[in-house]
Amino acid sequence: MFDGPEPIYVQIASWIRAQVLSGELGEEEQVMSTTQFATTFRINPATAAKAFSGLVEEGILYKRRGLGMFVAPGARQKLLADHRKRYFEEVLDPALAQAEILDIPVGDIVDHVLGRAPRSGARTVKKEK
Amino acid sequence: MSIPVTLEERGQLARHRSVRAAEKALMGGLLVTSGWFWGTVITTSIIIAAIQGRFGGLEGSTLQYTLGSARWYMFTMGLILAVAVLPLHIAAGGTRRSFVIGLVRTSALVGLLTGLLVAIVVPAERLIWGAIGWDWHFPQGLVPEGSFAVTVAGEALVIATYILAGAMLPAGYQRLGAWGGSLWIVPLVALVVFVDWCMHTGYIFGWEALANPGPGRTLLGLGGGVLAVAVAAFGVDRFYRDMPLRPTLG
Amino acid sequence: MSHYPFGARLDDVAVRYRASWRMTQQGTVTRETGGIALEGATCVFPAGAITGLLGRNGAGKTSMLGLLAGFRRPTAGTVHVGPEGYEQDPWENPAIVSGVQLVRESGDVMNEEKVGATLKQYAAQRPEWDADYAARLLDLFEVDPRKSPAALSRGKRSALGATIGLASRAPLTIFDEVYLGMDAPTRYAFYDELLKDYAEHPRTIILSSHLVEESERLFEHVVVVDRGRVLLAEPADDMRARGTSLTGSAAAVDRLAAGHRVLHRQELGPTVMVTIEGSLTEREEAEAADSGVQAGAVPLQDLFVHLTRTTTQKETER
Repeated sequence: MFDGPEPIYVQIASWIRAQVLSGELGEEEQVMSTTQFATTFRINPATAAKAFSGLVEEGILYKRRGLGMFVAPGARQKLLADHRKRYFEEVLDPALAQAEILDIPVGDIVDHVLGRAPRSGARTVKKEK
Repeated sequence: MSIPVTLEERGQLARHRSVRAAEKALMGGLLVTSGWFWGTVITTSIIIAAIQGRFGGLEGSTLQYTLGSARWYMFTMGLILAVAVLPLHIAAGGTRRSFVIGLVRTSALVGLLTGLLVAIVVPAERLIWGAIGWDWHFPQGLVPEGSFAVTVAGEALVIATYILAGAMLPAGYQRLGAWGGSLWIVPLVALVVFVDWCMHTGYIFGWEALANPGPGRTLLGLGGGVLAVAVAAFGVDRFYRDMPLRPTLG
Repeated sequence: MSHYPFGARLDDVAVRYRASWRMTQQGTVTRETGGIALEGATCVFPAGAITGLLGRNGAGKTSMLGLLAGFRRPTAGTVHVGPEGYEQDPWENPAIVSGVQLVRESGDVMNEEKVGATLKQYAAQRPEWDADYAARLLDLFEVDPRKSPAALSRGKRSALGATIGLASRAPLTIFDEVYLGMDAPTRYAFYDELLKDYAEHPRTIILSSHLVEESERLFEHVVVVDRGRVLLAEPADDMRARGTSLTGSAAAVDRLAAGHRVLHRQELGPTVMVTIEGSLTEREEAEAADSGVQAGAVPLQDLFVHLTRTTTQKETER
């Protein structure tokens, strides 16, 4: 767990965001404590705390004194909006840029997305599968 | 509670516990040594007495011969304990100072215990010898034929000096090197010979007749013994108070 | 007793050993060679953090730790240990040394007596000692308290050292290469216990190690020593940010690496992997993405190896 190239606290934050997005962690639900994080994943508790404080700043988590960290109300909506926006920037834009390099007409892409047969002879990703 | 107060309390508590821990650790070793001491003294005394009864030859108390040599056990144990106890004492959060205080106190205590036993065993031997009908005389000590208080005090000073002198030996090697460390035995032996001489005991001077006994001679002897212990305690303190623990220990 | 984690600070510290002789517990006299263990060492071990003290064998780690525990005095410079803002010289200072537990590789134990006797000795002096916890740890590490340390295997002796350090609950607890001889499951059990106990009883912990890989995630702070000098002392994340690995076609990678100090270069057929000092600028990152070069973090272990290797090479070149 958390073996990626980014700093561990970044990976922990992404993991919690993903859990909130998928609904595994509901709003107002308590998040694992830094201690639980530390012992479960064999990391320094300060690393987990750093991830938490970042998420608190983002408004994903909030702290209840003496109780721990909880998922903020509206966190999922916030993440959905954020990830939707980023989907276009980070996923779709590079794919379209690649398509342009490969001379794939926009029409083919639209057809592919809509599940229709390609109008021109250019190969599509779907055919390769 | 503010932090400095706590640190001060911490220091006081630590000082107290550290001295007590050193005493306990050293006492354990020294009580084992005392076992050897008395085991050897009693066994050899019985053997000598048996030979004496069978063949004659030696005269008077057998303890006058055996007590003096058994003292070297104390010297050796002082040496062993200093090497064995100090690293653990420091590693467990003690100071050299508390170790030295513990060592001096324990030496004095073991000295007193030994003195008490000597003051009991010597008259006991006299009674047994009387019962068997043997001639008994004990030419050692500051008072002819022994005095309880003086025997206890004298023996206590002698034993404490032996233990502390032994404890100074390993420090000498670290300070003075292999040759210096070996030569360092000479002043240590001189110190224990001095305390034996002061008390008019020990196997070196034991068989000498007591010359001009009296209160003045007794006081002078005890004073010499106190001086010997003081010198030994000062030496131990000087040697151990800035002794570093090397990264590797055997 | 209320207790505060102890921090530690070294200022321009040197430790030079004179050649000397010493009597061992076996009664033999051996000669110790002299030499420089530390020179101009300045660093901080922050209170309340787990710090990794990294260095190759003989780099000066053990000498540095001996200073913090009051085992020895520096030849030059000053050492301060204590609660934040109240640091004092630990030498012969009962308030400080009673709160510093250094577990040495050699193990300060009564070799010929039962393990229980050694633990009693620590319990008698350590204000924060937890005897129940010590018993639980011996159980966990499968160390028989009725055996003597001399009768234990290397790994079990190390586990005994780990037990002493953890159960001391000392405001500054130091483990000097404590894992030596432990098998992997025991090492991980030790790391888990360390983290659990650290979370429940906050204190300062220093772990000295030259096997960085499996323990690097435990560190909040790192101090790297090499040949008696402090190479760096900083948060572990800062050290991780000191290097970036670039993987891709030789031409593209070399173009990107041109403005940086290259720590390591490895050819994997047509692709190369280069570790550079520092991180890429935003423009370089974009360039890397465009030219198909993958930029990644460098594990502390690799960075440590690179850092200590390059200084070694420089020393020999001089």
